[in-house]
Amino acid sequence: MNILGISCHYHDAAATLIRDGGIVAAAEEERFTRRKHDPAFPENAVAFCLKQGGLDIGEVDALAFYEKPLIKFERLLTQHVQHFPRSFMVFQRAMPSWLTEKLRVRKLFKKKLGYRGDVFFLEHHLSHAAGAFYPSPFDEAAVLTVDGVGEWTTAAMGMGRGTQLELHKEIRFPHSIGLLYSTVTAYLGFSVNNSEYKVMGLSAYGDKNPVSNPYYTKLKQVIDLKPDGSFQLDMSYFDYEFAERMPSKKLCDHLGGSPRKPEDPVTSRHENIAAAVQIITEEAVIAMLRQLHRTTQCPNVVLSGGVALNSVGNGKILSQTDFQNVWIQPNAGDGGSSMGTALYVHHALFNNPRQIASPNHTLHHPYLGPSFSSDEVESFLRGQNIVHHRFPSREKLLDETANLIQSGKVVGWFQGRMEWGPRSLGARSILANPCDPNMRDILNLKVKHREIFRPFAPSVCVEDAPKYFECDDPVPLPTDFMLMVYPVRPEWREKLPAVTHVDGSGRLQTVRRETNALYYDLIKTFGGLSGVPMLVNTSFNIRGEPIVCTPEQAYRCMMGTGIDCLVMEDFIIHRGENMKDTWDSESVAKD
Amino acid sequence: MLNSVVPEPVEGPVRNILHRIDKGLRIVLKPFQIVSNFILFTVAYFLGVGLSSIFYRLGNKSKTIPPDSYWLDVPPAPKDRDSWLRPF
Ligand SMILES: [Fe+2]
Repeated sequence: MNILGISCHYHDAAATLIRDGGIVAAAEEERFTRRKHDPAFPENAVAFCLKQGGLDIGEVDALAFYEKPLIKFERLLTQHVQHFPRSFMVFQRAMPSWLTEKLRVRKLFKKKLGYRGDVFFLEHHLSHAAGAFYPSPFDEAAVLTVDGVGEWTTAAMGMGRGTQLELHKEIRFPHSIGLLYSTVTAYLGFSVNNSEYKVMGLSAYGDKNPVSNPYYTKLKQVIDLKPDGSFQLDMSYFDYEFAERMPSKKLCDHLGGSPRKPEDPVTSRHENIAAAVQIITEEAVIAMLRQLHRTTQCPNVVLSGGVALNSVGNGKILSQTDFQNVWIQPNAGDGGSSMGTALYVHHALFNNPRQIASPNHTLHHPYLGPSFSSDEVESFLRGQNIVHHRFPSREKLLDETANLIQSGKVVGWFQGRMEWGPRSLGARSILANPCDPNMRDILNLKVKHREIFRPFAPSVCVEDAPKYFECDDPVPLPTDFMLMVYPVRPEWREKLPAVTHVDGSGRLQTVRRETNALYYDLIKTFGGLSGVPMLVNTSFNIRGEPIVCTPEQAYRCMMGTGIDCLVMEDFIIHRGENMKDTWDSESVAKD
Repeated sequence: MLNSVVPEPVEGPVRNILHRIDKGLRIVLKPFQIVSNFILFTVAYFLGVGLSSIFYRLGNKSKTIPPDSYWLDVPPAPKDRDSWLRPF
């Protein structure tokens, strides 16, 4: 049975193809259109999924959509009624796309894909929950979903058992932890639904002590958080119900002034505000998880929704709750719901049993996107007259790449199938030496063109992680997806300057040989040279652009930045051996 | 195209001409469409949303005491498969 899952029309449009419950392919639309967080109908991602599965649209048995558009529309109309006439401009802007596209999803599938079969519609948070539960390695798990908003729900708790999954409790719009975080993101001058992770990075510079951080007390007045993790926001501090801006004037006054403009410098006040919203978010999520454990008594928990990408909070789940095991959908935002909705239809609606032991049923790795053979890469390089060299063997590839990194070079790494989700995890990565004290500045200024306060992540082989990080034991599976932040062991902090954040933490990615042998072996080879089996792993893109998908995009990214060489399948391309590209990466480095 | 899995768009001469005509018409009609949409949505907003908001405000005068918990029950999911075919 072939099921195509689709999410789109809000942000991070994506498609997933499953065959008999096994995940065949999944990708976000942004990787093909090159528009970051592209919300448009994912026709390119669908085309990729079908081609990867060797199918045409007529062979798809069912199509699953990640939310119920009419219920979402009802919520929007309710907002307009409640906030008449202040919502006039938002109404004017939103209605055309609702009436022409968003309410006509079934018609859109027919028009864009030529699909005429059944379309199943799931609630937004049920799609998130399914994306967390069904690909997890657990037969039974408690489920928590937290995001900005779906139809009405902004957070939900439930339970998955075998093929069945139910949500039991929810928090409804306008009360939303995700929107609180986004509001503060907007207040701090960063883009909403895009730069929340910058606030998370910035929070490490602020005062993490709730007693001494004055903004913690101020922000606590905005939210009524109950001991059971439920909450309500004081909506007088927020304008997002009826306007396109998020913080109200009252919130701006409460936080001591007008919002930061993107070009303004980041001050300690901004750092403390970021720290305050991070602490409150962690408090809320931990309280929800404790309540979830109290009511389910299940040792396993799975999470999804945009807030589940908050890796700083995720790193505290096992130490601060009674759950023993955790799994998080690597694409926890709305993109991941395309996977959840397809799996729910397969298991819950068609009663097909789960096969947790089967490799492509449980999501052990994120490599679900397009790949390019060495022949294809070579034909591209020859076609473009790009000077390149073929590695004579796998050993040579590993040795030469490790040597380059050890000598301080920044290496573009393009191997195998592209990652699913927002993180580069060893398929489309930029790699560097974590022990080099200048590497953070080199990467920030020459390659990524991004804010200096943002940290870089380390990749480390799973068995080596406890040596360098104060992580949970055993290392939880979401660490493979770079979803957990742990303290770097104090004795290693100075030796790992490129990956140790200002508060001594690191957002590590653990690598297993069984899921990415080449990357695992590269880390070990580098360890043999440097004495530290660890690499800086940052996403293969520049600020404001999606992660690269094709060899052409990877080459272009290298030529326009400070990446020294590109290791692409069996080939190496040195920037210095090729004509300087006219593309100025710095000029396009915007959010 | 290099990509081994992303298919190229199908382009033919007839399709190309039709596409260009369609594109041209859209550009010409765009300003009219914006103005007519604005008028239509303004009428819909003030009549539909405005009137509903009057009834909403009349029926929502009472203040409630904050409960011990803000968790709300989620209604059980429908059992029959066909009900999932509805976008609501
Ligand atoms: Fe969501």
